[in-house]
Amino acid sequence: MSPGVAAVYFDGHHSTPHAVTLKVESATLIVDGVTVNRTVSLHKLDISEALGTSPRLIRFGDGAFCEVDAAGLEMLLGRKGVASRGVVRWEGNVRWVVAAALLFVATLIAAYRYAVPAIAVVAANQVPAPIVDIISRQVMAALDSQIFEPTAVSSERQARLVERFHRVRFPAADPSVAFDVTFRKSDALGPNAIALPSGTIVVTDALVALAQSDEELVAVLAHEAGHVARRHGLRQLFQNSLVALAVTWLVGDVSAIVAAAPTALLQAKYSRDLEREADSYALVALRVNGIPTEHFAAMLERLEHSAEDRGITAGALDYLSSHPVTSERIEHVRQTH
Amino acid sequence: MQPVSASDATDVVSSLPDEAVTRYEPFRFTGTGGEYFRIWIVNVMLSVVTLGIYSAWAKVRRLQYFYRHTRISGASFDYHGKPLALLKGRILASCLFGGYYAASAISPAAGVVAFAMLAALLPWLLARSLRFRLYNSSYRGLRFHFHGSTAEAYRVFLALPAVAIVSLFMLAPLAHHRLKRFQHANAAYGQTRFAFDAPVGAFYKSYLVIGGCLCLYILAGVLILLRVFAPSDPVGEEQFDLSGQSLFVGLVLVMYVLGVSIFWSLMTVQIRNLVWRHTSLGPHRFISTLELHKLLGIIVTNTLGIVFTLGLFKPYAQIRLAKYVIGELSLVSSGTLDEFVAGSQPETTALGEEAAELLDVDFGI
Repeated sequence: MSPGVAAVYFDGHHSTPHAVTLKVESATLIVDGVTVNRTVSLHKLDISEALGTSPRLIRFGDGAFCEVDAAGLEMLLGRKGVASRGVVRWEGNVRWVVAAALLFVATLIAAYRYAVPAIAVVAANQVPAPIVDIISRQVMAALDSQIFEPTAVSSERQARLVERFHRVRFPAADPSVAFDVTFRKSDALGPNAIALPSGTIVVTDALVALAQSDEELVAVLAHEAGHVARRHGLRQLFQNSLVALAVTWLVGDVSAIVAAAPTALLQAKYSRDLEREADSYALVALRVNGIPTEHFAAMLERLEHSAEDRGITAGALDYLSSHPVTSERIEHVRQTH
Repeated sequence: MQPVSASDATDVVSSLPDEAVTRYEPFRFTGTGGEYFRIWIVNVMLSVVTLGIYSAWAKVRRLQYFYRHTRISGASFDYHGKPLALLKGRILASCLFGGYYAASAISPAAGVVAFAMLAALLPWLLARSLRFRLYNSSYRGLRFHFHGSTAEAYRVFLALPAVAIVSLFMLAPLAHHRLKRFQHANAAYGQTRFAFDAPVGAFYKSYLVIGGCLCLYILAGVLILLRVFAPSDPVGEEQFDLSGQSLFVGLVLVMYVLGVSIFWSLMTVQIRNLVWRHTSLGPHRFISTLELHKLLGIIVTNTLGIVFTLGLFKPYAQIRLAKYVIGELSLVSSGTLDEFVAGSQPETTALGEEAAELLDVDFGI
């Protein structure tokens, strides 16, 4: 027979607490109090799982239950009597908990560095071409109404550039992607080029003006073609969504909007990685087609100078930026000669 | 802050003579960070390993931990949701929102249609969510219930917010008042209904305070930025070009994050204190005594803690928040909490509950 343990009994129909003493005698629980007297065979009881030090509940199956503290229950049933599931034993074992914590951090880092980008590649390749077309057309329509104006580049110059670009053979490009070079004027973007997932590459008038040769423009176009061929637009969409989801989950219920800052930081790295990948693609494409890669480096230099002239400078916040530091990119291009 | 709000959206007990002495029965949260960390990390790892399936079991364990450590008058709360019911609800809700995201990715038009369908469904889901959450909460063995009608849910979750937007937020305090009234006045503990008697004017007053503080903060922020970055002399301007830009962006970011934290804390303090001061259960009233600087301190340190520990601080953060928010709530009781009687209501499915969770809807404030 076990020693008596103090508990509180509720009948499930009234909020009245009944102070009782619990005892176990020959596989039977005896509930003994001024207002309550019950005996229930042990195997009919439903005993709540341990949850840290929170009170344990002994349920009688008819809505009635006893609230007893964790130590009291153990005294009542003995260590064996309160044997619990693996999950509870895991929570109780310091070494396993520390191992889980380390695994958690490792999982986060591995997911961020490898799993998320890999999942994004697979997911991006699953998006059917018609949907890619619809998305791209909508983005183009939005850009046309917001920041683009009709181009002022002469049609002969356009035709010459397009023709030059189409003579470039692109390695490992999805045959369903048809590159389509088009021109727009934009004060907001300055010298720039934009690739849409469908294969449309928009070149700004300022970029055409900045380039000193067609080869330099082709080098930039090859970089943009890299974005298209490697499905960077869709991959970025998937990567950013996954990161935003994870950060919201982690920081979210403390304050959802605050989560925006770390999310942007984490996403910026992905963006820089994609830019580097597009650079590498451009270098391969240029070499395969016998175009000196120096054109690319020269164009990057010119872009940086032009940015400086417009008052945009690289500074302490470069880790926030969506592009790698230009000097680093130029160096990369020149090194891989 | 969901587990916290969950346990105290549901509340307390009793009734008796008017002559009875008024007592303050404080709510206490007895959970500890170290203990919850163990539960949390096991929950997370098992959820990852099972590709999210375990998360339904994890949720039940998490809520049971928070409920059973929430105590008043010598007894704790309990959560009765069943993992399988939650899992089913979770799958259905994911399909619903997955469909919406897919539609809006394909075209804005399809997205608008999907959004309209979802919006039309939402009040119904949210009402079911309240019902599920309360039905599965108990104190001293008696379940809570929610009696809000679907028609009223459409009014408070859809019609009034729309009106508030159309009125350029002049009617937002009114919409907020009706929402809180819907939640609190329709809740019941056993057979005893909660009552909600906050005047609409009190919500307008709170909104004025919140809006005033927000305006002051923005004004102060702009003045500081102007003072620090105004080009005072030509030499200074030179320097601004070099490193000033980064500094400027950094400062704006810090002020933005701090501003959001202040706004959220202020909103929580104002509305929570107001709502509970005007909630009663039988002859018992409630009182919540949150203070802005304390809540803000917890929010800011929690966020920093989570960011700098790669998330490992999260369980401690949740416990700290629960301890403070629950600890500041008291029942002003006149008489005993011993005389409540169980009520009855059929059980509901968990679809609404899980839809609300995916939407991050919080019924706390």
